[in-house]
Amino acid sequence: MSKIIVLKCVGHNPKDFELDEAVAVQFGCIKDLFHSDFDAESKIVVDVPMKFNSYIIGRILEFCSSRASFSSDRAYWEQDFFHPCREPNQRKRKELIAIMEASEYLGMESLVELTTQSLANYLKGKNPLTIRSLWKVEGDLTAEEEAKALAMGVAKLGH
Amino acid sequence: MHNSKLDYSSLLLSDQLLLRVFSKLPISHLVSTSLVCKRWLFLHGRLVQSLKLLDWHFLESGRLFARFPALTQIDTVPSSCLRLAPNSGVLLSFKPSSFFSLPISSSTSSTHHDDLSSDRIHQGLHLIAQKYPNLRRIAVFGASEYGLATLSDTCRTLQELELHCCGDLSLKGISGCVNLQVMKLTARMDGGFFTTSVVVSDIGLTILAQNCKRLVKLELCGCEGSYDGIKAIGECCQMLEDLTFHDHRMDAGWLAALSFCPNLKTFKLRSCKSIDSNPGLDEHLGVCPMLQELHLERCHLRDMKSTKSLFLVCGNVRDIVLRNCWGFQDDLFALASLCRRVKLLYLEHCSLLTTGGLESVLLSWKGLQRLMVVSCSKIKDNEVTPELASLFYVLKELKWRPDTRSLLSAELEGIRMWRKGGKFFTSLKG
Repeated sequence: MSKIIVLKCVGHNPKDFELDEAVAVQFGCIKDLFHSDFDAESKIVVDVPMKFNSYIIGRILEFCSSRASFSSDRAYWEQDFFHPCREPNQRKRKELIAIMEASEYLGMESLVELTTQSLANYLKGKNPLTIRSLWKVEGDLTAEEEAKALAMGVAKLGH
Repeated sequence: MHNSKLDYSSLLLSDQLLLRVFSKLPISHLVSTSLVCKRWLFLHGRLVQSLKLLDWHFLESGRLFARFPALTQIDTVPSSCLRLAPNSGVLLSFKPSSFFSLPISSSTSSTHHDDLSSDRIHQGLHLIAQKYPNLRRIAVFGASEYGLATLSDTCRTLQELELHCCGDLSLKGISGCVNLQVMKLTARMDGGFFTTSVVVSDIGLTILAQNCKRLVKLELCGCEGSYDGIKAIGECCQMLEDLTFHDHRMDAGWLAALSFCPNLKTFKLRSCKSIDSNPGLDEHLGVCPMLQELHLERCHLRDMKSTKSLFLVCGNVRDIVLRNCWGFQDDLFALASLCRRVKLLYLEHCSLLTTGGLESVLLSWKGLQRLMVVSCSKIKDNEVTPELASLFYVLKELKWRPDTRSLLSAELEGIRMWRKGGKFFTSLKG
C-alpha cells in the first residue's frame, strides 16, 4: 500500500535504491511526491544526476536510516558517520564535498548544515596558500589586491 | 576510476553552499579565506551587511556596490566629514554587534581636498537608494532635502537614521520614512570642522513628529526647540520609548511637554549645560506616566528649580543613573526623594555628595533594591551609619566603591554584619 521511491543512480557504478516512506520524507525534494495523487501501488523513479555516484547516495541513505538511535544528528555525524578530524585526507575531502552537494540537491537541510559546518571547521585557521593546495582552488588575486588585503595586517601569506 | 583533478574541488561548489560555509566561520578567520581567490573574495563581500565608508569615491565609482551587494547598514559620515589620509578606503564591520573592523586601503591615489558638496552627497545617496533598496540603517552627514527624499522614497524598509548637520529644511525630505524606528539627529557638531549654523527647531521637530509616527528611539543633539516641538513629538509618536537629549539648546519651559509622551520609558540627558532655565509652575508640569529610567551624564545640575522640576516630571521613575554631573550637592540630591518608586540608584563621580546627603535620600526610598556607588570622593566608609548599613543588608545588589581604598568589609565586621560577608566581599573583590 505504501509508495516506493526509487533513486536511480547512473554513472560509473549504476545502482537503484529503493526507499521506503520513512527515509524518503527526509529529502525535501521527494517529500512533495507523497502528497500528490498517485496510485497507491505505483513506483516513482527519481533520476539522480550523474555527478552524484551511487557510493555517495548510499552513504547518505546510510546516514538517514542509522541516525535514529543517536540523540542528535550532530552526535551521529561526528561519532559514527564522518569522524571529522583535524586534517582530512584527499579522499575524505572529496567525500565531504560530494555529500554536501548531494544533500543539497536532495533537499536534506540537516545534512547540509553538518557538512558545511565541517568544511568551515577545516578552513578555520589555515592560511590561503594551504587552502588553495588542499582544496584545489586557483589563486587569481593580483599582487595589488593581495597587498590591499595584507594592509589589513590580519592575514599573512606564507611566502 | 579517478576523476579529474578538478572534480569535487571547491570550484564546483555553488555560491550558495560556499556562502553557507563562510557564514559559519568565526569573523577572525574570514580574512584569510577571502584571500584564497577572487571568487571567494567577492563571496565574502556578499556576507558583509554593515559597513563604514571612509572614502566617498569608493561609493561614486560603484566599487562599493560591486564588492558588497548585500549591505543593509551604511555609515557614510566618516567619508563626508572627516579628511583622512589618501589611502584609507573602507572600514568593514561584519555584524552590527561585533567590534571587529578591518581597514581596506582603496586604490585611489587622489587626495580629496575638495569639500563634499551637497550635490555630490545627493548623487551618492541616490546611488545608495538604487542599489540597496532594502537598506535598514544609514548615517549621513550634511544631507539636503532632496537627498533625504530620494532615500526615504526608495528605501521603504529604513528603520534607523542618523543625520548629522541636518536642519529644519533638510528634514522636509523624510516624509517617506514611515517605518523609521530609531533616529539620531545632530544639528551642530561640537568643535570640529564645521561651524555652520544648521538649526533644528520646533519646525523640524514637528516635521519629524508628523512623518515618523513609529519612532521608538530618538536622540537629539544640539537641537533647539521648545515646549511645542516636544509636545508634537509626544502626541504624534505614541510608541516613543527612549528619548535622549545631548547638549540641548531648548527654550525654557520644554520640560513640561515631556508628560505628553505616553510610553516614554527611558529619558537621558547628556552633556547638557542646563536642564530647563524656566520650567514653570509645579502644578503644570505633569508626570511622564510610564517612565522607568532616568539617566543624567555630564550635566550641569546647579539649579534647584529645574532639578526639582525634572524629578517631579520623572516622579514614577525606577532607575536613576547619575554620572559625572557637576554641581550635584546634597540639597539638590535631596530632591530625588520626590521620586517615590526608585528601585535602582547608580552614582558615579558625584564628588560633591556626602554620605549624610546620600543616606537621607536612601532611607526615604522604601522600595530600593539595587545601589551602586562608584568613585564619589566625599562618601566615606567611616560615615556609614548603622541605619544605612542595615539598608545595605536588605538590598538585592550592592556595589560600594566610593574610593579605591574602601574598607567597608572591616567596618561591617565592627557592626556585626559579617554573616552577610559573601555578598559584600564579591563586590570588593570584583
